[in-house]
Amino acid sequence: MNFRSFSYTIMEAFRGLIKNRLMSAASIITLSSCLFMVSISFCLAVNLDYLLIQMESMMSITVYLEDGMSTEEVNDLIGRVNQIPFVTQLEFISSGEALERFKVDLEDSAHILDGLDKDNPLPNSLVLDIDSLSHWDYVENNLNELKEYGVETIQHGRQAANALMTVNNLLRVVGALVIAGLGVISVVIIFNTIRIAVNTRKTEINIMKYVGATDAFIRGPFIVEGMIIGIFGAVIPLAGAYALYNPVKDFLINSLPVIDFLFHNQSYVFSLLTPLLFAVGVLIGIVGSTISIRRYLNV
Amino acid sequence: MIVAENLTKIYENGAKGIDHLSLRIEDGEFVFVVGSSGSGKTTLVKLLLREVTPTEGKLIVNGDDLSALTRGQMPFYRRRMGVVFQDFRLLTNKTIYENVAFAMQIVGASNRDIRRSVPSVLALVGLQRKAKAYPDQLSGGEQQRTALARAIVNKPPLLLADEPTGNLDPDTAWDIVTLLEDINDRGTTVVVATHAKDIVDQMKKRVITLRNGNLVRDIEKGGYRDEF
Repeated sequence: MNFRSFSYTIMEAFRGLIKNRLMSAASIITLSSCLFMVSISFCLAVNLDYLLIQMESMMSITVYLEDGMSTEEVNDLIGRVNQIPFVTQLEFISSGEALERFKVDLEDSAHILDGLDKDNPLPNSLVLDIDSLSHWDYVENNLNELKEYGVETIQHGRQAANALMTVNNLLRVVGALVIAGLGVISVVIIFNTIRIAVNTRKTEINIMKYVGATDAFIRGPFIVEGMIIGIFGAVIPLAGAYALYNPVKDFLINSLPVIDFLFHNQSYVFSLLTPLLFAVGVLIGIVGSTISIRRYLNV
Repeated sequence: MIVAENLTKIYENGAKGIDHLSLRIEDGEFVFVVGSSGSGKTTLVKLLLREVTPTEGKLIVNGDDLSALTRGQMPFYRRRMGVVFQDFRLLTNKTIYENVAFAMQIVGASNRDIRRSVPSVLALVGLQRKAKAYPDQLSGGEQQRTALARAIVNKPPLLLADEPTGNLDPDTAWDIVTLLEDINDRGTTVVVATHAKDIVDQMKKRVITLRNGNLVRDIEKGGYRDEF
């Protein structure tokens, strides 16, 4: 395509959009709504992923030791635990230290522990960090084999991690279905918009065919029209999601203080979401207009 | 040059449009194709426009075998042919100038060429003063002259006119036919499918008469009445 055809195509596309402005606006709004849902699902998904990664690194196994172990016995056990593969960090917390930490955690209510200093019920413990959730079973089995060396009970938060993973996977499937459904709706709406545009220009297309216009020349403006709808349909939800991202993030952090996790920052999320949304929007626009014009080219 | 050999077109519903027609039209000729409704005139025009394809036989136009023409070659085939219809088929949202320029834009002509050719073609059909008007501000004759200007602006070797005077009063019809003759004098082959007896009779050009899709008469310097 040479420059003249190119400028003709672009100008005709804008002319078409303005001429059918009501339908153009309707399809931009519909596409925007669909892509806004896509944006929300996307923000949710990346942050849930991030949450999982953080949980993996934050979660640790606590091994409570039998009472009355000598220092040598404790050191021997620490040595053995250290030899288990995938253990990235190991911390020994004595019963006294555990009580101090408990007091700190309780803050104002710490006085209820006052009488316990002499008769501390908390056991010595080891806190293990493991490199990945997938190695938990392995490490746990190895720890179980150390019962005779002083391991009493093993406590971990793996169920919580598994539940979160299940929720995350479920959200992904539901998200994908919702996005696919919205995608189809968008294609149908754009298809109709362009079809109306094509229909009002049926005579024009007919004349163009008789004068010797190629299919590409006729199709061009309609495809560009679809692309422009796609671009606007992506910009609006992007702007909306961008503006809402930080306030929603702050709101979640403040209203759920228990969740001490980090969210992805705005610029990171949108560096991924922006090209995705533009690609999806433009693709939907092209597909919609290609389908709607095909029928009219057979003259 | 147009060559038809045993040309046959049978529509999907079984109706015969053209039935084993053979004819030859040389470059630079002026030919009327006449016949009553259902004689096959319209089918012949549609075949020449490559709107429909032959069921049987051969149709060769400007060296292109229309049975072998691919979809991709069709636009380029049509660029070597100007077309005028009974209903003018102008773009109502474009001015007269733009309607003519449009045919040049489609073939990728430069703006300079467009600015040079369109006014001269409009002058040829006598519409230079109406360049900025819109089709619905013009009379039928002026609209048909616009269509003629559009048909010849790319200088095609062949001009096909399907009932070009069908919607016009007799005086205006004569203007158009005179213009067609002018265009023919400049070397363009002109094929006119028509019902206009008076015009055919007075022009004394070659007349091809069709009936039931067959060629029943082909006379040099003939007339419409020769038909029967």
